[in-house]
Amino acid sequence: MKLRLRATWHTLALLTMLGAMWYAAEAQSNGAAYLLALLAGVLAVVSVLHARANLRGLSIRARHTATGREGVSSRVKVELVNGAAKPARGIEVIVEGAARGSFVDLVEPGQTRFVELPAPTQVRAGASLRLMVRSVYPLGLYSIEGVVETAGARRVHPKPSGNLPLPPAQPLSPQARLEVSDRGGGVVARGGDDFAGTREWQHGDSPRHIDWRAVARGRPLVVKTWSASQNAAVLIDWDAIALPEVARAGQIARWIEQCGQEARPFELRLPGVVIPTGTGESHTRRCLDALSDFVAEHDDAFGGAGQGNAVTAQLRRKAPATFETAFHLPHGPLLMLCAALFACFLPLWGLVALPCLVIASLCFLWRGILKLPVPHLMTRLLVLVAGVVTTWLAHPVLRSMETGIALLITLAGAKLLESRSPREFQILALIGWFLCLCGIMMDNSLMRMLWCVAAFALVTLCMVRFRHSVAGLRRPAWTTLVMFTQALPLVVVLFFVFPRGLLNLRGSGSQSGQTGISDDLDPGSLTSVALRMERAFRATFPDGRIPTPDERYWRCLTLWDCYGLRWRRGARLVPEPRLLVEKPELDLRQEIVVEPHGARWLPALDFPLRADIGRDFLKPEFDDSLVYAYSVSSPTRYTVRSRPAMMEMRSQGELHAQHREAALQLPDKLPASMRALVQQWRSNSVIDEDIVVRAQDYFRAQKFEYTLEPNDYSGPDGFEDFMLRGKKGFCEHFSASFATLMRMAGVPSRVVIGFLGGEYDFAREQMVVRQSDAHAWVEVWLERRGWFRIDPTADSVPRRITENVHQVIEENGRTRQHFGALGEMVFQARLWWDRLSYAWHDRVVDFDREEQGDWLESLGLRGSTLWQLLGISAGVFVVWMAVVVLFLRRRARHADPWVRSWQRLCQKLLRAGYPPRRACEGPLAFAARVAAGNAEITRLASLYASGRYGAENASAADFARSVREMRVK
Amino acid sequence: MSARTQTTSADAALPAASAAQARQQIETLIQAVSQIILGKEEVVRLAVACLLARGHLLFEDQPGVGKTILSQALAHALGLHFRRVQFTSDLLPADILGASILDKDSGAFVFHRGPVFAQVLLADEINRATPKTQSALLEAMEEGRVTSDGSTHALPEPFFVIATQNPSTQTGTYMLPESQMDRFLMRLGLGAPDREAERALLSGQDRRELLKVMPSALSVADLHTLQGWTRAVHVSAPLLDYLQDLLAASRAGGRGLSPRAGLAVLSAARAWALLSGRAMVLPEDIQAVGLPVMAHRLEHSVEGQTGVETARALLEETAVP
Repeated sequence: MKLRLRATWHTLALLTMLGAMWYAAEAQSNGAAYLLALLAGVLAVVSVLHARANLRGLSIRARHTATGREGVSSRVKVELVNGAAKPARGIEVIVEGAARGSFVDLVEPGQTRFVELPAPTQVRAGASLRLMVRSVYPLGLYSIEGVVETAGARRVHPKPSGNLPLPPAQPLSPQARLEVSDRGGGVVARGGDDFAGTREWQHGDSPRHIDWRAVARGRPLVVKTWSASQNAAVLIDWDAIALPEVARAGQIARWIEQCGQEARPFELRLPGVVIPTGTGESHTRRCLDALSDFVAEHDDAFGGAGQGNAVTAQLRRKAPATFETAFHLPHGPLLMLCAALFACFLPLWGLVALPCLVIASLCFLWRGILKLPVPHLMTRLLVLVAGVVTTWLAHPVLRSMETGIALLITLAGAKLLESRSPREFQILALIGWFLCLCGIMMDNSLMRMLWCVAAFALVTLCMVRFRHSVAGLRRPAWTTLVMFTQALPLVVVLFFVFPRGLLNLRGSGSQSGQTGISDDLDPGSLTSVALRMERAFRATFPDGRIPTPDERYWRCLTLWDCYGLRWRRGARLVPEPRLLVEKPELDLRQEIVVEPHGARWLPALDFPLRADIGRDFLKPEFDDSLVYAYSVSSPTRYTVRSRPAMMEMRSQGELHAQHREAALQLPDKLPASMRALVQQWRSNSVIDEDIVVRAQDYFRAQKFEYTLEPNDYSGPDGFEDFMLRGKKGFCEHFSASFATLMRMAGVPSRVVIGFLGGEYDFAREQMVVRQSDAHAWVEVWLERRGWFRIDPTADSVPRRITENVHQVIEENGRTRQHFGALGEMVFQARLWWDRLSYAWHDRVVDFDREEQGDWLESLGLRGSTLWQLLGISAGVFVVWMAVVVLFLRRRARHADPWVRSWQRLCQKLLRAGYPPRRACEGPLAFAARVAAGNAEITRLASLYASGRYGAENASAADFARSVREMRVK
Repeated sequence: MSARTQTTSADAALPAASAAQARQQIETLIQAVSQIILGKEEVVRLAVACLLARGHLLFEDQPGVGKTILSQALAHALGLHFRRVQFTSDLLPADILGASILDKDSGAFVFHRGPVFAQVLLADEINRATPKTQSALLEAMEEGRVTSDGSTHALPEPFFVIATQNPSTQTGTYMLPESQMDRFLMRLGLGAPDREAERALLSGQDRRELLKVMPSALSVADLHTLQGWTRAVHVSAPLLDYLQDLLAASRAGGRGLSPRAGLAVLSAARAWALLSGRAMVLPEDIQAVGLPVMAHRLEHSVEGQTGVETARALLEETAVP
């Protein structure tokens, strides 16, 4: 049986979904999303192989069928034999030309199932029946079809129709009369004087002829017939009928029937066929057979009177209706799907509008757990409208990802409410797959990824269980596991070699919400990104000089407007031209690739002198930060020349008056306690440096706690709360309060936000700076030094400079609490998990087009083009699929060791040039046929016969050894 | 050792030595019969297998090919009591079974046994008699006893009916209905002998003369023993799988083989295995007896095919497990 893959609407849905997944992954350049999209795609392909393997061993036999009549439904019995090692599942068998088929849920290996199929009802010749076998197992994403030619033939006679009178009888010549009587039927016809027996009553028979006496005795209605010798015969001629060709067959069938009932001799003339005069059942039958053969043959010419051959073509072109919309959804799989979809929702909790999730969950409750039927259309519409409205209320920005996901969830709930057939089930399952991706898109931590992959597997299991169509979870779970195991290696390899950035979309999805660097610095704005592991930018150092940890202050923005603990960027001030000569021995060149963030700032090591971006030359702004002319919406590469040693050098001049004014501006209301503190510093100092040193001393002495869980300082007294009462904060608290205190003391100050630190990867010779490295520090204007960097965070927590924020927080946590042995283990586990998470982000999530290029370069594939990558991917793909196919095609291992050895023997003989064993041949018969003097074959065959069929417990191992040791010439 | 106690139950396996001994005995029987019926050893073997399986035999063939002689030869070779009934359209059940007749001396009804009370009964041209008479005989075959006027009379042991039937095309016959065809274990056809055998037949002695001097090859006790051994021939689970596959396949195309037919195939295959000197049934045994056992049960089950064709297709299409 040749199997073909046929795309269905579900295939289209799958392709659309895969496209959407890839688009989303490209838009975010998110490695985790790529991984899931690849998993979905490879799984879909692996399932093709499983689907083919499912039907491969199936053979179908239809033995014979009775003759049918056009338009009268009847059934054909067929036999399904599964000769494969695996059970065949979810099979639909359709007789060619029939509108519907039958569904067979399971044929176990070696088992035979008998199915009664609706037979075709169109006129057809006595050609053998062709059957179509179709299955959507295991995932229901497409159908695998095969057409089988069977030995069984079936003829369908045309339906009698038309009401033309019977053509007049032509007198028979004496010779013809003799011939007719020789043909067996005898020239007798009903309607004469001689009683010619009874026959069953037919519609239209005169009541006078009914054998009422027989009826009175309880017999069914029978009609008495009389015969008389007949000297004339009716001539039925196809060409002589004044009817359109479509109606002729029916009219002729009616006449034949009529002649048969009245036992009139008749002759049938069809173009090319003449059936000479005769009577009787066999003659009638012969004529009807000839008529149906003729009609079926000339079917196309008649414009569809019958549909014999056209159906074959039609079967190839267009498959008959499936059960996708006809079957009812069983409850078990539906409940399972509800649970799986709920698992897909969970990671989205708190990220999309809660009411949407609640509405969808209620829908699950309704259909899945309460087993309630599909509600009224109005109710369903109401649910949909409620979902859309709540989405709109919760996410005013219509074009954001959250809105899309919320709408998708609402749609999933509404779809579930109206799910009645397998089609809806399939759509829901595909939505489930996509929701898993959404979970990753919103936040790609390792934990969430694991959860989403588990939910993805659960949805897949639901699909497999549904298409298994037999209760029980063990076998679907095994199938799912096997498919995942087969898909995963390929997914991993494709992840590394499949070309990225095909759609060139990077940055169009807004990621600005993910960075802590913005024009405002509020208490908590950097804390919120402290755990985000996304990469902010990468830097390489072409001159080979790598900045020391205390030089790794990456400057982004400067904030001037002070509101206590809150700072704003403020208005643009007049630029102050500076003339700086490049000094290669002092300067540090960096090549930076910044990830898209939607704003215009560009990070650079403190203090940037100039930047080259493409052909543009960029000078630092008035506040020494680099600002690009456009917002950064795609990964942007530029070269910066910075001078970390600027602070050590003498100031080049005075502070511009406007700058000084801006750098001393203060809010109206300031706490009196703080005023007193500053007053105290001021009175004990002569120059500004003294004040700064005193303030630094104060910060060190106060033992502020560096934590990711600071108190809430958003109230009007937040500044005082932090300084005097809370004393727990993150870098933004330290910097904002320090700068405010400096201004109160009359020292011009400003807050700089950017990144501190970065991890240098010696293998890849690049420094990676992540969102969690976001940092805020202070600059004060000192007369002799100019703008001078003070990092109050570093004053309080000196290790923050050399270590990243996680390590510092961890260490703080460790020293703060005293763990027991168990606590230590928990702590170690957390540490290990953090490292794993870090590696996950570093190696998987951030593996984008550039990293891929670097990686391929390290493999020696420098500058691979898109086509090369596609070629490599295709090669890997084909090789792996071949491996999977080999696995799926492996020979069935028979349970009986005797049979295994016997099969081995037959194989051995076949290889040695002996004829193959026929399936219906017993061992001794086979040996007798092929042995031809080879006594060893005869001996082994009789050994096998007595071992397999005999009563004695002979040793199968001995037999196996004999087979192994046997040498065939 | 009496023959009756030898009758073993099915689960007690038959020793291979017994099977070999059985084969020798059966070979002598077959040789003896083949002296009379020339060139038809295959049919003789099947007939003996039918006898061993305690089944009845139906011959369907043209007149004059040696049906009667074969039956007589079998009866003689086994030393069994042989009777022959020629069926005609006016034959009545009492003509076969016997009738109760008033005995003047005792004043009581005395049952006079009919020709059915024989060990080998040849029912010649069974399809010439009316269905009523046919069914009287067939009932006796099935039950193994005759009931007349309320009294039951057991038929002798062994009771082996060989019926002959003319091909259906002949006029004036009442064909056996399918349900009654099922009573016969096998249907065999003799066919014309080949040229060599026919020459030997024509040039040799009169067959009936030979019959008279023919010695018996087996005793009745031996026959009982052999029949007992037949039932003890081992049938393994894979073989039953095969048989069930056959039965299921026959039902695929409509009315197929009944479970009784399945039992018939099995017992015939056991007898054939014993005939070949084996203590277990192989698929080959089923295939060997398959045609004669199944063909007459599959007549008309497939439109436009004879029973033989259907049965042959079945055997060729069903795989051996």
